[in-house]
Amino acid sequence: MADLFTHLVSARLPGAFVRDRRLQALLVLGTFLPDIGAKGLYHVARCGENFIVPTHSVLGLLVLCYGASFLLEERLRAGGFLALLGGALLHLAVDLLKDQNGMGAAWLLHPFSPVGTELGLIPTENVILLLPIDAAILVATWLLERRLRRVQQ
Amino acid sequence: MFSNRAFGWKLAGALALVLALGAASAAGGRFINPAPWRCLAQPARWDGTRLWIPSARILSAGPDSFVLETEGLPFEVRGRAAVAPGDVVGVSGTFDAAGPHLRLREWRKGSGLRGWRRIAEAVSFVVLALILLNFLRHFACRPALARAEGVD
Repeated sequence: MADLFTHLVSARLPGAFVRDRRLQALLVLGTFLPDIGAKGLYHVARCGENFIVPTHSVLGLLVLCYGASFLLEERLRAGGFLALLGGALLHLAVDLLKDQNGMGAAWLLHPFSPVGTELGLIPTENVILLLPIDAAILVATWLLERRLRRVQQ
Repeated sequence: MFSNRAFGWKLAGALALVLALGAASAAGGRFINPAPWRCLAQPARWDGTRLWIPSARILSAGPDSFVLETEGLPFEVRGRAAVAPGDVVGVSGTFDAAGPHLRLREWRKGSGLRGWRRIAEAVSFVVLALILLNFLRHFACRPALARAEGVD
């Protein structure tokens, strides 16, 4: 996984354009959902390595987000589902940037295809180099949000 | 689809489907690499599994193979790679129970930044803690406040 800070930043920037603060929060939660699912199944439920594959596939995330949306009140559920799913797909997009020696960082078409996919742009050990970029994007997002809020007022 | 009708069935169905996908993946797939020590402990079980070792130090190197140290254990890798003892590399390949060893598929020299990853992880956990606090602010159930506002 990329570090959580990078995942957070990847959701905060598009989140600046979401007016409802609750949906904005759910978009951020959605970016953590694949890793919450994977780590929960692996470390807490003690499932095997292969069991967690659906948490990093499109179909698996679709179902996971649908289930998670039922933890929300009915009025918020449909929008919450889309926000969670958007965040989760952003997570996959960020993970795809990784270089895992050709092993694949996500199994997009699982269970229809066993092929793992990666773009191989960032070796996993180099994620520390993303921290200053993340911080800069976060500050830019904050400024953008302030400006958008001023325009709305 | 998102209504409260058959709430329990929808929630249980989604959960069951995720678990079924996981079970299907576990039963039929060899997607994610197991820990190298598991492969060495049970070579027959993991024979033919694709394995990725993100970072390990080379202990010794020959023309057609090299031995690296991972999780405190020596691990033989067969394949040609321009490496020398002391180098830090990431490798991937197929685990072979005979030996046991790894048939090299891809490799790359490490950048030496792996130790810094802990800092990135520490930042991540601080960020996660702040986010959870923020969530409590947005989603906390405050019945007393709701009653005062006449919501219920």
